[in-house]
Amino acid sequence: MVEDELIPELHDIGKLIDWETINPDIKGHNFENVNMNNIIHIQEPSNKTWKGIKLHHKKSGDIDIFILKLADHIASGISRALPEDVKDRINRIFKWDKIPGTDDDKLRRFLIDELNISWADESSFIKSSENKIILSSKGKFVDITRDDITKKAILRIHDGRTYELSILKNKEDEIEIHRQKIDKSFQKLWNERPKNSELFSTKDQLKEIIEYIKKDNSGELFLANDLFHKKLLSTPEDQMPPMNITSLYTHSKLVGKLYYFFKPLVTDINCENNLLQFRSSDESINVQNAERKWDLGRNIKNAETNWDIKLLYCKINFPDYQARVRDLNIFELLKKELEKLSKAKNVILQTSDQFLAFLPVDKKIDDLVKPFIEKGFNIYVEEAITKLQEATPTPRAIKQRKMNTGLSIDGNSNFDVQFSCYTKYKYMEPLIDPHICEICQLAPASEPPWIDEGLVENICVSCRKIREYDESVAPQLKDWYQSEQLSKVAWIKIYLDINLLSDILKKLYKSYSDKYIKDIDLKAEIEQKDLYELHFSVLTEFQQDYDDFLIDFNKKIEYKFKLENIQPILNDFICVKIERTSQIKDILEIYNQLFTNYFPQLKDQKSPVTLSISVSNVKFAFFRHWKNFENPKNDVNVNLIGRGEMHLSLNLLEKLIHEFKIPASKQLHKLAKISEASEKLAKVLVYDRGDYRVYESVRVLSNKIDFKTILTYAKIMGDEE
Amino acid sequence: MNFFKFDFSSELLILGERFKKGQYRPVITTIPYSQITGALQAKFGNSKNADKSKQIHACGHFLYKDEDEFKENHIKTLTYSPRNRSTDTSIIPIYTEYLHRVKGEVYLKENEDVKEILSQKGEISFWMGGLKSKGFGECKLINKEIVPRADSREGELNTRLPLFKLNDANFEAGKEEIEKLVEEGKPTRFLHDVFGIERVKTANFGYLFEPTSETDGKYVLSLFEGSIVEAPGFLLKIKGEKKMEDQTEDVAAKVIEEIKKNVNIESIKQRSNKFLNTVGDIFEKEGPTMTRAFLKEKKSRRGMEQQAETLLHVLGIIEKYPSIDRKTARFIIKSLISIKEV
Repeated sequence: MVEDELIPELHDIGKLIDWETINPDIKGHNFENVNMNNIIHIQEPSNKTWKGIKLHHKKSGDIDIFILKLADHIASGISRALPEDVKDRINRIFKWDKIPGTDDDKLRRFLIDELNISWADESSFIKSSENKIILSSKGKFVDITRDDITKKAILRIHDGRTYELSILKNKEDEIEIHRQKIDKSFQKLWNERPKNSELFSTKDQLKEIIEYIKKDNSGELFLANDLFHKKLLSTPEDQMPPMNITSLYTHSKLVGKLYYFFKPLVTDINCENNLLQFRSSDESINVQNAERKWDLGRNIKNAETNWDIKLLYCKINFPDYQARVRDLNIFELLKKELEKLSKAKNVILQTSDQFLAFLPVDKKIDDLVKPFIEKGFNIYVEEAITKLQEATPTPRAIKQRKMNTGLSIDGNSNFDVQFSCYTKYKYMEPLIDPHICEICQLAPASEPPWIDEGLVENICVSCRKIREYDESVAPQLKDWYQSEQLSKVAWIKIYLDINLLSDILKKLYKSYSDKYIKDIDLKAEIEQKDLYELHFSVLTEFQQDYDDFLIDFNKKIEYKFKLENIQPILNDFICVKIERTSQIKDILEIYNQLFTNYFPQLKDQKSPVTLSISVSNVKFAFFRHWKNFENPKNDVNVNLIGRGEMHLSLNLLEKLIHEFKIPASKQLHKLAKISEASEKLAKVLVYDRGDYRVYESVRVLSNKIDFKTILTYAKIMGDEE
Repeated sequence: MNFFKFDFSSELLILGERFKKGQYRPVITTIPYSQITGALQAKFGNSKNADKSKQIHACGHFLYKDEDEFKENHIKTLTYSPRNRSTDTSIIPIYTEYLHRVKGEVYLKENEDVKEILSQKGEISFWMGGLKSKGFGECKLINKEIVPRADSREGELNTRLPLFKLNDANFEAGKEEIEKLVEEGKPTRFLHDVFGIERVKTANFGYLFEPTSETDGKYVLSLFEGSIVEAPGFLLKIKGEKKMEDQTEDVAAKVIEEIKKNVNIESIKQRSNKFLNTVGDIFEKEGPTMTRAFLKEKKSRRGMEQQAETLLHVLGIIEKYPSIDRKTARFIIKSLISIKEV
């Protein structure tokens, strides 16, 4: 239990409450004007967490709440630099007094695009009374009648359809007509099956929440708690589409991380000119000023637009010449370091070989990557130094944005983005006397040489440690290597490209937003300022699904092939012993099925998630397989070492698996033999009149899939029982 | 700063990495400084030119349109087994990759000494790489032109270059210089003065072997391919730039493409396959001369002129490619009608 410290993960707990059911007079999620005593007959909490919950959208002189607010902004799904009235403008159809007038086009667009009233531009709007608008043409009509008491407007169409619209008054006291509020569901960009929120809707449940807040449980416990976990996962951070793309779970978790990242950095606030300053925690600060009146609304913006931060994208590599089973211990070392890394407060996102992290500008990356470097890895780094508001989602995206727009968000001044890329290595000797390590080729070999199976290898201290690390890292593989030397193995690697993910999600978000943002001016404003940029929380949301996808994939592979035939290496990298190459089809089917389930929207374009399979005899040099995984050429890649490769998109994979009828083995053998001499000749055979019927399925598919892929697949399936 | 530009070619070449697990040697897909410079120095470094040959600084890369196709078509694997002489048995087999029928470009820094050594024009033959005793490593250079050092641009290094040279006071580099390269991207004297590299933005490090005597040497810290540098264009892998046409090994494909382009297959489309089968069979059994005779005879018959003429044309194309065996040629002839669909 943490003693009266602000628990940032709980700041939006109020969004889990269905106030419309409990008390419709209460709006918002900050428990504003909520008298707990009256509603549930208990005292409200008095701890810092409760203060944070109530005040994180308000002015407050508290530094912790300021940091919470900052973390909240950075951890939002999309840019909070969107115009303040964006939610109103998304739903607004027109202003009553502007019909007839400047809003005619907007109303017309609504009628044509959303209600299929194609004749709406044949006539003009008229106001038959103060409360009624009519549009008519050749016996057809639409009328909108306003009822200020019920705050509803009824739209009637001549064909009998009616729609209820909402009436709202804006800040200028103008009457606006809005679409009915949309379902408050949480929408994932990569999976269009919306999740409906399950909110707390009774007073007893509200009481339970308040009691929980009083307990000061840690953020981790809160997120994992059975009472909240599912609800957090199914409730959007922002209910209004198209902002409903991040779950409250992801948002809260990220706020927690960012809060603890910022906290040690903000040791003082300099009120001069209302500018707030990050101070390095190394500097000693003498805070004298007791009188602090901060306009926190403005100051958060100051913080976001004036503070510099370093955003890093890192890719972990290792010298790739693992020759023996024991050399695979390097993956165990990697796993251990990644586990430690995941706990770091400044690491926002990570996979088995990449991560995104924040650093203060004055800090170098060395401390962060030192554990990896010491173990023999090298780290490729892309780094961007930019204003806090701009530091999303990846350094490459920031650089691209600068190249595209060259303007800051408010369009007032250019922001200076420093972008660099480099690789961090262990210290490299300028000269090495022979021998050099055969595995990493980056260090001198140590004595004595490694002798095994009559072979002599010169390896360095680091690579020797890896070999000697643990006997049992890949025990199954070792068994197969020693006792089943003729067996075949399929190495399976699933890879997530973070940079590509960011690009693809941005495209998906734009398509999703277009469904809801109909206001042309608003659309233009968002596009012009490039506000479609997604924040980290969407990437981390994806990562959650990706991690679940990997768990499911591994489970299904285990079920299909049996545990004794599986050698897990990492969560996205396994080795499977197979009896026949045709079993690869099972792996492809499992992958395809799960991918369709988890990421259906990613199937129609180049996927940031790729599958690579490399098949050979168990004794074949591992590093050759690893080289095949380095740069996946397509969504799905299969390499039959020495026999062929196939690279294709997921959509085509489905066609291949389900539509391809394998020719009889004799014809298949003939085709394979000819293709070894000449692929072109093999194509001719497929069209030759003599064997025309036999190769029909090959011909049909060769219009969509390249011939090499079809041939390789035919070879894969050649030993099917 | 000028460079001699050479066209490079080799039928069989082993430019290998070090052996892995004592058994497997993968090949590299560029021409490192150490290999080409060492080979040329060995060729020209007789007593007369010993000192001059030390002024040879060269590097190069292979030409290909598509890296993956290059790997598929030009990298083969050789399995061989050294023999234990005392027991006259094979020792554990060794697998080595080798490059097959590769072409490339080599650039040599121009200076007075090098000009003198290379005063001969035409082809330079030399040996490079591993297993020379087994016939690997014969290379040819054809002097093309002198190219001035072009303006630097940013790109991926396409070769391997040492950061400094041993036993050459002009090109030594201390720890400080190397640190500056790593931290600030400032190139060492050797990289800058010899090859014109202006900046090293992202370094991909490795080691190249530099001999210090007949039997000894050291591994020198080097920049490997994939490093991002600002350098003259010839050192860079420029993405999207077409380097050369596919050096396809698929000769049958070339024959088929030529037939598609130049032969009017329509003229035989309506006919039965029987005639094609007959011609194909004759070609396989008797060879091109008999087939030609057969077709000329058919040409004189009414109703067969067009077909025979077309097949004579096809025969001419096939004969241009002597590596096409008779069986393959028979298949091509028999499948002429289908060729158009492909």
